[in-house]
Amino acid sequence: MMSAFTLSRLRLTVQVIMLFFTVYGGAIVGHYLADKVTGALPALSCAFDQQNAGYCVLIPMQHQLHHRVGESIVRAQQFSVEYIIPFGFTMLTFFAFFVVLNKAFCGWICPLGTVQELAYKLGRRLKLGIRRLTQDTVGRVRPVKWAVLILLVLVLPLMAGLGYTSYVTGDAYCQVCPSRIVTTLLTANTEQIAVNTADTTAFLFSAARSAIFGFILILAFGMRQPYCRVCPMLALHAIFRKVVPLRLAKVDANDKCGKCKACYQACPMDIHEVAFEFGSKAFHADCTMCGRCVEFCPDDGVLSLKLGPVALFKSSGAYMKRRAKIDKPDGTLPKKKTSTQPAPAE
Amino acid sequence: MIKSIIRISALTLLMASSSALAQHAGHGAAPKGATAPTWTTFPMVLSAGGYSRSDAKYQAYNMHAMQAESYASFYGHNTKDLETATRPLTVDDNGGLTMEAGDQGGYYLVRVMGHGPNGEEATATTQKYFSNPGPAPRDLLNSARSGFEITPTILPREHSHYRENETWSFNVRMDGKPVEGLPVILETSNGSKFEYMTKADGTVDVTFPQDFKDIPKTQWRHGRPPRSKFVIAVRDGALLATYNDSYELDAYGDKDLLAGIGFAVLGMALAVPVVRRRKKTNGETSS
Repeated sequence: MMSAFTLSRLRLTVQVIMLFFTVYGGAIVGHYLADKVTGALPALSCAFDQQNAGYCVLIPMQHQLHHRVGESIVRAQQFSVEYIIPFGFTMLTFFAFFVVLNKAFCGWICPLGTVQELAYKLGRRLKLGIRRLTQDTVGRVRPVKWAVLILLVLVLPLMAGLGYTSYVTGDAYCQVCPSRIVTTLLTANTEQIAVNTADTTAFLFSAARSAIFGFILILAFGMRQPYCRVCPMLALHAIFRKVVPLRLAKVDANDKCGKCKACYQACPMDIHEVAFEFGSKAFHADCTMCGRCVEFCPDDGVLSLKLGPVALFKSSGAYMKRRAKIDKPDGTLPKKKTSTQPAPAE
Repeated sequence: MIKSIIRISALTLLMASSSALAQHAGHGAAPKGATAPTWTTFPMVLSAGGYSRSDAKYQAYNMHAMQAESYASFYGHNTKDLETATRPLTVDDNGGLTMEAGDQGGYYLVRVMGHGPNGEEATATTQKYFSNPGPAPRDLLNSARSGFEITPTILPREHSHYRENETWSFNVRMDGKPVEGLPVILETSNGSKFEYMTKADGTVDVTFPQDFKDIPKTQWRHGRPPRSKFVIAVRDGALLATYNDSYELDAYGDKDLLAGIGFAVLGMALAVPVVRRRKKTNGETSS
């Protein structure tokens, strides 16, 4: 029984359950916004999906900046603490959830993350090519998530509230988010993939959304977690990652480590620091707490997922050997052993 | 890469600035002159504009000798709440009334009782949602109230609305009990009129007609035509009950699904060379 257990299998089970919950969970919790588990979920659970069980935190953040903060400044020509209190509560709610699971919301709960992982697994079954990013490319891509957070989630909604940009930019990030299409398509709703022809800005944003969705969907067959690398939720998580108890931990400098690079090969976000850095530096802002690096580390206790001082899961050579029979660090399926015995004569 | 992002962002800002400062104009604007709607003679309670997150102003039309009440979405949770959840509203001589929600957000029903244009005993109901957090309106809609009324079985949740071509269910009840076999009339401000019949459980399914096509684009706002009004009316002898609200353009009325699929396919096509099996190149690995 124990030999069947792997962290990846546990995570896949959780991911599939959470995919159903975040996409169809409204059937359990109820139809109205007041019924939802939260309006500040640290995962891309889209409000355009009318059947979900909780809303992504990026939605109230944008709406509060657009309708509360920006609009109140325009109307009253003044700024009051009253107008930022809802924004503060949204962040507190987000933080309350975040404290429990940290960035594991990305690796275990986000519906878009799960769909990308399933696409990559399918790509391995179809024996499609694997595309990994070099350290240089990763370095160039990393700032994009911060630009998306600042520009699309914070600045443009506020500018819309102030009246400087189109109403469409009031939820600028939601306008281009591929999860809006993925989650609604899973409920057989094609409305969000349609291009909005009302005006130029709406057209450009909705066309970009559809194109990004198509690009990410195909890319996910050959590259692990392509959208997660530029996701503003990852950036939002990164801000708080060091002040919550659940984290990836690595021992301090170790002679054995940094040679096999299995953890780097296993990392779906191509985080090279996990192999070449030690201590807290190995827990990078892009980590989604999927635990694959810990699973594939052959050295006992070098890497671990920790909750405070408690190690929930530690690397071990024996576990790694068992784990490698399921797939390789990069997700490739192991070759089936062919029998060397001659076929019995008829 | 970062420079490109900044350039694209600046371009987006420039393109978007056309709608500029007028963006919030018209949010809840009062109907000037407050003249009675000409598209129906049924009693209605229409928004009288004003912009507030704590109260809402209404104007009753096609009624006289009125009194009014509001019911909050925490109605029916327990008897302690019942008293505070039901509030009498003052109706002025012209049919104007204000409902105050204070800091209690969520859903409200506003019900005006009086006499209709033909002297019948009339009850006109509408709903209001305050975006501050509040309970779901399940109990509000299911609770038994006195009198003859028509109310929604389920309300569109926040950020969604009644739309063309959609079918929604309404309850017709007398003193909280369902009434079967009554004709129900739907009239819209776009000129449509349809008749339905209540079922054994007192519900009636109403389909909103596709009648936005004649609204000129000059009247559109935020890239969409303004919401149109509707009233649903049901008679039982000398009693008349109405429910009025607004509905929107069809989900695809301002969208192009084929174009959307086209852009998605374009995105897919751009990704194909990236994931195609290829030889190893400098610095990037593939299998």
